[in-house]
Amino acid sequence: MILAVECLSKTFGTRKVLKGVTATFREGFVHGILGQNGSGKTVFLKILAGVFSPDEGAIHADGTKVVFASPANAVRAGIAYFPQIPYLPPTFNLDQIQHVLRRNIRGSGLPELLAEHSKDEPFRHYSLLEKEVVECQIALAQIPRVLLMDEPRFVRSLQYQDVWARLLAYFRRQGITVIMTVHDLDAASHECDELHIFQEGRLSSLPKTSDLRTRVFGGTRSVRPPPAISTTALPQAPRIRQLTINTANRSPLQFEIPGISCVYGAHYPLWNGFVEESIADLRAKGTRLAVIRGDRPDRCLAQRSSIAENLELALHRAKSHFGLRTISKSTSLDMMQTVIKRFGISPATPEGEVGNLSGGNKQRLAFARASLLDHDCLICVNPWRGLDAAGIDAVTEMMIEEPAHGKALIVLTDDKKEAEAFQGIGKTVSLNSCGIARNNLDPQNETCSNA
Amino acid sequence: MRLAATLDLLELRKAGRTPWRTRLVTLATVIVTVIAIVLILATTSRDARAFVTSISSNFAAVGFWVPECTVIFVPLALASLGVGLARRAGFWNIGGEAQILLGALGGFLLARLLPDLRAPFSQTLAIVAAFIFGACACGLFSLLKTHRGADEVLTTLLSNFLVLHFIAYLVGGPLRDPESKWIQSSTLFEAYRFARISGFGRMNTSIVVLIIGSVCFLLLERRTSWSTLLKLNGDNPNAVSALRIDPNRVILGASLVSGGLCGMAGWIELAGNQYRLVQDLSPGYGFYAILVAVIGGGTVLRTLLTAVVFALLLHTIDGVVRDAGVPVYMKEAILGLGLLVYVVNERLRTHSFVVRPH
Repeated sequence: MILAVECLSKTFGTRKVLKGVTATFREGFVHGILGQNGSGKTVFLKILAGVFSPDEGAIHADGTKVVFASPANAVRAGIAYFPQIPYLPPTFNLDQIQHVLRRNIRGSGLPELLAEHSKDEPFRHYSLLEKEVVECQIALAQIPRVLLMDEPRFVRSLQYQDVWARLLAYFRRQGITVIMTVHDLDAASHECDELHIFQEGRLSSLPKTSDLRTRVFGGTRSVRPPPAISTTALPQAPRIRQLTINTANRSPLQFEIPGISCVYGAHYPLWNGFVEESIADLRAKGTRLAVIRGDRPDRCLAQRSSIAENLELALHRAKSHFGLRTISKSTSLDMMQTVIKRFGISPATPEGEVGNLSGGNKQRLAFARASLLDHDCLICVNPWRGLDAAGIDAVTEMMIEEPAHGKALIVLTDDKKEAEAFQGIGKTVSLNSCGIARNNLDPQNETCSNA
Repeated sequence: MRLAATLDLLELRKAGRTPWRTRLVTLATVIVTVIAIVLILATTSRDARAFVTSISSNFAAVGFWVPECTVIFVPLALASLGVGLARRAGFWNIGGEAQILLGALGGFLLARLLPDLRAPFSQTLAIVAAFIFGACACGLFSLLKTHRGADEVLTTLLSNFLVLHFIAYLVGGPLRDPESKWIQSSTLFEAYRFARISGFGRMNTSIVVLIIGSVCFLLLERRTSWSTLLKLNGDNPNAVSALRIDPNRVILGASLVSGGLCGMAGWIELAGNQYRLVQDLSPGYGFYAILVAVIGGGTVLRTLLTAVVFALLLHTIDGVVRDAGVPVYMKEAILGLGLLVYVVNERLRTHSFVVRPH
């Protein structure tokens, strides 16, 4: 199916997100959509999927104008949508989803992509990436001619690299048009046949050239060496000097305070369990943690509250006694605006509702909140996930400054690029398929017997 | 299963305000008003002039309707502040009626235990006792919610009937006034009553309790971050966990204060108005408080303002029920319809249902 859009516009409140988007997506190609956080990528895909209706403009499928009043209409027209955050009901299982698909949507059975869980196991036992794979299965079961993928994260994981390669081959064989939003420029240039970029609410095509990175954002995706730590120059002595993570069936992992450490793991659901257990273990020991879950960007934010309300409590928690405000409203507003500017949250209005922010901006807000919170240790789980190059630079700047303030930074990641970036500046360990820590980043090749 | 699955694929999404939704809400309001008028006229033999006469006579003298409305307003406002506070923190306190009755019982038992206490101490201690009884009644269900996962809407709602029967047993048995032919307790000692303000009918000094409570709440709302903490907890408990605050403790705290305020409302109704414990002590303040709290939106001033409107409304409806012969159940039916319109209005104004994209 050749999908074309003409002068698509969409406004939320006073904010014009799409300003006359015109583009043609050729049949059977994998199209990558690049763009900064909050540039309108998700809104654009949701309009194509019938979730939002455009204020102006038209969508043409194979030259015929189509209007999608609901997502069901888009599905009937052969357009399947893979959402940014999986919608799977936690008490449902694969069998039930299959039942619903067969009854309600012109679908085939679910393709076999996932083997870790039995078909009657509820989705609440799945990790985020496993849920994403199920979402992908559901989208494929609808026999789409166009597949819209909003920041698929499982494709970057070591565990699902084979699955992704198989899927790409399947898309090309079947002539399925894939339109996916992507932040990883290297992956975009390798996997996508055509690239498009969102800039100021408009979509323009981008030639595939080797200097893609500098042409797009000038971002580096690398970590500069952290500032030197002088123990005597610390504003205050660290409360604790060492952290130990004890998790089931694994040898304890020890981290110095102040210091930077990175734990890399790629084996699901082992990794999922490790992250949860590590955070719970450190909390149980009374460690003052600030946790940022890049793998679940909106779970830790109050969506129906404003940006200011989300930041306010972190600020007052560090600076108040018994909840009483010890800093004036104007001072706290100034501090909030400073962090909003520092992390480049857009739109930069403290009164704005968090639910209206894009995924990347929510991630930035979680970092902004952590920067205001008084803590001993900052745990970042997949800190770069969903961020554009400017966002990565802003959050990395904050992360590597943690030891200079007498704090520990622990990066937990299943993204090899993140692990490699932090490898040079701190202690880095990887967990192999048996959960045994190794001082290298190639856990796939390790076996349990030589551990 | 299929229905459940289909429903689960539906999602309430944020949507911009569109004219058709606004028109729909206006239409719904008109329809409900028409239904209410038809119901009232259908259930009474009087003509429309009887209603006008009833309303005008109820609001003829300021010296009559202001004290009457205040007697309704004070307990209703306290209970509404309590229910609104718990709702803001993510706890639906539907057990206001139970807490009102238990609060009144707490104060009454204290009066029976310490009959010789002098006036300011007796009233203060009785308020504290009422607060504790109400707080315990609500706190228990918040613990059941946080530790056992029991749905608070169900448990607090059922607690109303449980406590109602318990109070019926007490006033019909151990606490019954042997000299009265009615099923009620003995009269409250003078030292425990709220004094009536001379020249203002049934209006009494319990309004001071409400003023002090409201000022405290306003200070908490404006000068501390408690209000934000409750809002974030109601919005997403994980957001509060991320700040190293236990969301369960926030819910427990909010529910204790909520139940306590409802308990105080019960004591004010007993010591300021009725002077004896009876089964139907509260004319439904616990349920009306939910309406007021929902419309009040969790802020102190808006809740108080809504409570004033409700006090006027209840006073009017009471007059119409008394003078024009409208069945008393119509009051509940009309207020329920009003709440339904309000909630649907609020939801439709900002949200629309869409099918989850799969």
